[in-house]
Parts: sequence; structure tokens; C-alpha cells
Amino acid sequence: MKQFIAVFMLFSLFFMFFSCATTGALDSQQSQVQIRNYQTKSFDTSNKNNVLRNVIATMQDLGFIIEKADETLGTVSGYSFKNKTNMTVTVRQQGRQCIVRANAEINNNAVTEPLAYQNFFNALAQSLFLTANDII
Amino acid sequence: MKKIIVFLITIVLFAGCMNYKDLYTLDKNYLERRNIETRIFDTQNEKELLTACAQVLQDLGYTIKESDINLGVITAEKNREVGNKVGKVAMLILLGSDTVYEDVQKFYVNIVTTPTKEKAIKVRVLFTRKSWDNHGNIFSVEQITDTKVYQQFFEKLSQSVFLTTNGI
Repeated sequence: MKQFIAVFMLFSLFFMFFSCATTGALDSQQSQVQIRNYQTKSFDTSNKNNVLRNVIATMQDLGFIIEKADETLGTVSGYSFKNKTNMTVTVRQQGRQCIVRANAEINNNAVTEPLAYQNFFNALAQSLFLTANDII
Repeated sequence: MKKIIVFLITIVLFAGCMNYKDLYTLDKNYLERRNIETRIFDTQNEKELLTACAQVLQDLGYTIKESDINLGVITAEKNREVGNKVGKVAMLILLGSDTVYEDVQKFYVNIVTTPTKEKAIKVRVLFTRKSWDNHGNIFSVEQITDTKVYQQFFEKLSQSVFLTTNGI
């Protein structure tokens, strides 16, 4: 048993130090389609500028500091001290819809939980509603 | 020995797990916070309002890090020392070199402008503060929620709008 544990530990160490070093830049645990599926949500509006402004407002509601914003590219990036999260949101227009995609990392790990993105998109939908009705 | 190994493996396995249920959810007071952080300005000239915002940030000693006029965004930050040097030296002499105290702080500010349907412009500002101790470790991170800070900022901004409009 001791031998097994020793071999296991050695294998773990080997795995930890050598497996990720070279392939890290392209590492992904899920397929591209799978990832895009939960990171993307489309909204029934063609006003890209308005969606981008609401993305910023939502990120502010969630305690993010906006670090980058580019209307031409349609990207907004921010950092949250509260969740220790780095997040980038992109908005692109497709016909009469705007497609919003978010990706985030927490503590040097990618957020791969669809529920987290659902929460973000729910908050964004709420913000779009408030703006559309000029509530606040 | 075996128990220790099992314990360590269990820790490694569960370390990566976290609760995603509440991640990126809005808290109950977010609308109240939005209200405190927002002021409506009776103008349609977003560019001029953003310029006045940049001016007031310079008044307050901030360095602008990011801005996009099309989205109405300005991000700025400033580094400041916490307390005075004399007090810190006195503390070290009295309590020893291992004493930990809040040493430096960084303020982050985000300003976002949004045109409203009533032909006015909403300005929303958000202040965050991060500080480090004398050993270089993070001491505190907080979103500034003091209503007075936001009131004072908007007073300064109103003044800045007036000064900028009049070319001062």
C-alpha cells in the first residue's frame, strides 16, 4: 500500500509540474460549441451601443471596475475585487439581435459553470429593462 | 500516515469546488446604490460632460487609465499614502518592526454617462479602494458606499461643468 501511495504521489507531482506547462495556452476542458453555448445570450435589440452601455451598468451593479471599453470592437473588460473575477464581455450585432458573450476567470481558473453566466445575463436583462423604461 | 494522505487528497479534490449559485447575482440594495451613484445633468452634450468629468478627476489627482467617448466611460486611479510617515515611524519604534499597519492605498473610479429619453444625461460614478500593509500584503478592498462621498463628487462635477462650459 505504501508503495502504491508513493507511486501515486510521484505521479501526481509529475503531472502537476509537467503536464500543463507547454499546452496551457490552448487548454480547454470543454468543446468550443459547449463553451459558446452557455457563455452566449442574444437579446432582441439592434442597438449595440445601448447593450454595451447596459453591460457596463450591469458590471458596475455587480461591483466590477471597468478596465477597458471599446465600442468599435464591442468589448468591455473589468475586474471585481469582491469575486476576484476578471471578465470580458463582447457584444456583436446580428440582424435585429445583439449577441452578448461573457467569459470569466476566478483565482486563476476559468469559470465553467453555466449558472454563473446565467446569473450575469439575468442581471443584464434586468438592466436593459430598466433602461428601456427609463426607470433609473 | 494513511489518514493524513487521504485528508490531503480530499482537500485537493474539494479546493476547486465553489458555490456558483450566488456568483454574479445582484444584491438587494443594487437599485438604491445606483440611485446614490447616479446624478442627472440637464444637457445633451455628452462629450462636454465627459470632458468636465475628466477635469474633475484631474482636480482630485486621478490618473486616467481608460476612456471611450462613444460608450461614455472613464476609468481612473490614484495612489496615496495612508496616514503620515512620522506616525508610522513612531509606531515601529514603540511596537517593533513586526507591526502591521495600513501603508498605501489605491482609489479606483469609474464614470459612465448615459443619455436618457428626456434629453438629459445620467452620470454614474463608482469609487473603490484597495490598500496594502507595510509588508506589501493586501490590507483591505472595499467599494466606497458613503453617500457623502458621492454627494461631494457630484457637487464638484456640477462646478466643473460650469467651469468647463465657460472655458475656465
